[in-house]
Amino acid sequence: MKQELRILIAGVGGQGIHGFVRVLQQAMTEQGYEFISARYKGGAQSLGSVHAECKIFLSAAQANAQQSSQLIPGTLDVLLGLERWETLRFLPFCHSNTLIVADTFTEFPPGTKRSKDLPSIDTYFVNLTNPLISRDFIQLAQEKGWSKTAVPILLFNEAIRSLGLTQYIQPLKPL
Amino acid sequence: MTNTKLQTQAEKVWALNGNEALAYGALHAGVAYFAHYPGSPVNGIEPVLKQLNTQHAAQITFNDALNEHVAACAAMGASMTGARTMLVMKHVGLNIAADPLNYVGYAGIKGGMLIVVGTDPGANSSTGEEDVHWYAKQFNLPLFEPTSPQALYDCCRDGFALSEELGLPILIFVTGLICHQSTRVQTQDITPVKRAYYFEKDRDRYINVGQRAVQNHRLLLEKMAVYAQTHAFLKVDGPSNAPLAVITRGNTTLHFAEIQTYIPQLANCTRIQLNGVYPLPTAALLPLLQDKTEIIVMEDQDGFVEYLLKMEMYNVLSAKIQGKNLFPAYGELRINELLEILCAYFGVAYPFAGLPSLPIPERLGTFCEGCPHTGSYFAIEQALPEQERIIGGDIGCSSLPPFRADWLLCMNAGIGLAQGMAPFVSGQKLVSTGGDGSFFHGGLLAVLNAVQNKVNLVHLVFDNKSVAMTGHQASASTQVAYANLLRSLGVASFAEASAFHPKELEALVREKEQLEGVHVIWVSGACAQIPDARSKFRRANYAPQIDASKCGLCTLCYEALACPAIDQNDLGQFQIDLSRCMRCGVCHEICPNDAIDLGAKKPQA
Repeated sequence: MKQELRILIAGVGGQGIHGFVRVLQQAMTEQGYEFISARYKGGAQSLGSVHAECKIFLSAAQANAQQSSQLIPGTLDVLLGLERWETLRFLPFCHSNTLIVADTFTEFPPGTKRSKDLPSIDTYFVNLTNPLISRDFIQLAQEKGWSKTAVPILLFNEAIRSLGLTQYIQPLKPL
Repeated sequence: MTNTKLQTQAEKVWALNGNEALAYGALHAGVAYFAHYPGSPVNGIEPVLKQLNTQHAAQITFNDALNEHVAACAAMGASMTGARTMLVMKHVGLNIAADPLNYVGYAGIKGGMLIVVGTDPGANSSTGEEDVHWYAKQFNLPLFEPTSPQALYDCCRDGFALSEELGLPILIFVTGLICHQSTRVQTQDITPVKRAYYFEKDRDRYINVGQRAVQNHRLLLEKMAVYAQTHAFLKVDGPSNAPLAVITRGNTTLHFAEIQTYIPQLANCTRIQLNGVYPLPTAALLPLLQDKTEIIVMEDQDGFVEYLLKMEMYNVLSAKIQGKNLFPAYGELRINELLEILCAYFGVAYPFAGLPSLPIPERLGTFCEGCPHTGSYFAIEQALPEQERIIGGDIGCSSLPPFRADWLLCMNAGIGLAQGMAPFVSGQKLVSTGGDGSFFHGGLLAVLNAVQNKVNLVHLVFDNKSVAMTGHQASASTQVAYANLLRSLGVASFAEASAFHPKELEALVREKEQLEGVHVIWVSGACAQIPDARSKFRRANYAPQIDASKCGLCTLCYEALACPAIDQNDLGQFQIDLSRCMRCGVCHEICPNDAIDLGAKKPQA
């Protein structure tokens, strides 16, 4: 079993990343796990690049060790991407086996000229060789009657299921 | 007035971020007065403390100050009555507060006083990453740098008592990383002493002029010299007889604990975590460092501790002291950057390889959908030709998209620099800008200064009715008769405009720009992020869309207006994302081809 779970959540301003980290923090604390996070809100209120780096300590020994809240590139267990360009931006944090769970929501940086040399976002995703779960989680949330705030929760639950960690970490319940 | 006793409760465990931990620490220590000027990353303390104040009926008096100088003076005054006081600002705000804080040590304080300063190595949420550690030495005040929300809580809760013991304020510096870091925090209510607040006259202390100031300066230096010998707030790990010592403070403390596990040479070093950073605890450090052959000071920014170490212990240490020769003095110094540097230094292979980065377009700052500044900047840019115009920019939301203004330095640098420039750029079209927060912070004086110095200048105040960027604190513009105020200053003209009618604003800028004297245009438009903003806009019931058959692909809405609710599909067509659109109607007003239809009006709910 892993000693700790390293998760990076990437998206854009307005998607509720910081709110989700608070929910995750609370849930992990209630489940008895130590949790540490670093949150970067970016320079924009809306649609700026936003991400959070999180560690869930699954063993007491790791929890008691003093730890940085930042993640080292190449050490990520799970990349949760709420927006596809931002998902790709944080690939350097992944290694070849990092699980990527990505929503299909795509928001090209507003006000930016699209270079003709820039491949389509689909091309990039097709060429990814990492374990990848790509799905329209927004639609999935809508189908269940959940609000947009459920989307990062769905991505997280998908990740722990895929990693076989549900015996240790209970999935979060969307409201 | 007395501060009522808070109920003592059992220890509690919370998941708190750094700002919340500071608020709880202040509450549990019985803070009675809170003065601040909002600024990231410490803007989260005030709303939490206000909430706790209500929940616990703690009777805390709040001063939502208009600038840091006023906040600092007010906090000192409260403390002089015996009230436990917290003063909060961001790093650049400390420059504004520095004038009174230079003398707070001379006068001393009565009620415990904590000065919490948010620092921002890497400028993650600021215009700059200025290192304000030097102020601790300049003010001659003890400086602490807690490294976690728990440490922040403890430092805040216990810091008031230390402050009262010393008769001096305590500086607490906290980085954005630690402010926004969430971890488990154990809190314990303490029972604040019931206090009777009273100002006791002591002119020898409080009147600091001439020789009295010199005398109090001498007393402060003597007090701090004793403190440096008698107080040491540090944590030592590892073997004490190791030839290598590593000293950390702030962010680097937590990073080093992890880095140590990857580099064998660091596994058995003496590790010294400095929690009390200033004054340097030389008496405690001497036995730890005197037999070392090498000392590495691992810290971000300028190298404050390295400087103190070399200056104050140069004749008692024989070790090679390394610091800024290894680590950059700029940027955040992420854990991976530090690891790379130390791996290279010790000849260890870097242990990790991430996937290669892709050429993802940079996500530049933008105005939010429905932001009033969108229309304001569009109007200025349309009124004044690009080759001729000069736009003085200011701190705040209006500076989010880069390169719209021609400079961006500090609060009120827009009108500040512009009035010095004005006499020399008559061949160019000069305007300055600033938000309502900046105007009341110091811009008001800058306007008066421009008037008195007979400057020719158009100044636009972007009033979004709140200090929007730091959490929508109340703006003085909602309470002050600013039109009367500005007219009384003697401005040549005062005009009001709506940010949501850029065509009218454009005409106004064009007109005023040709006139002599100081002309102020007050541009109003509420922030789009305030609750229920969408319903407050005038076209709330419409569903605007771009008619592709009429759109001439001029990019005026997409690139010049740059509203984030307008995007470009894979066919190159522009479209409005109705899930984002705030129905401000600006794109409809500016479209030269009448291609943006407001859509059918939906019935009122």
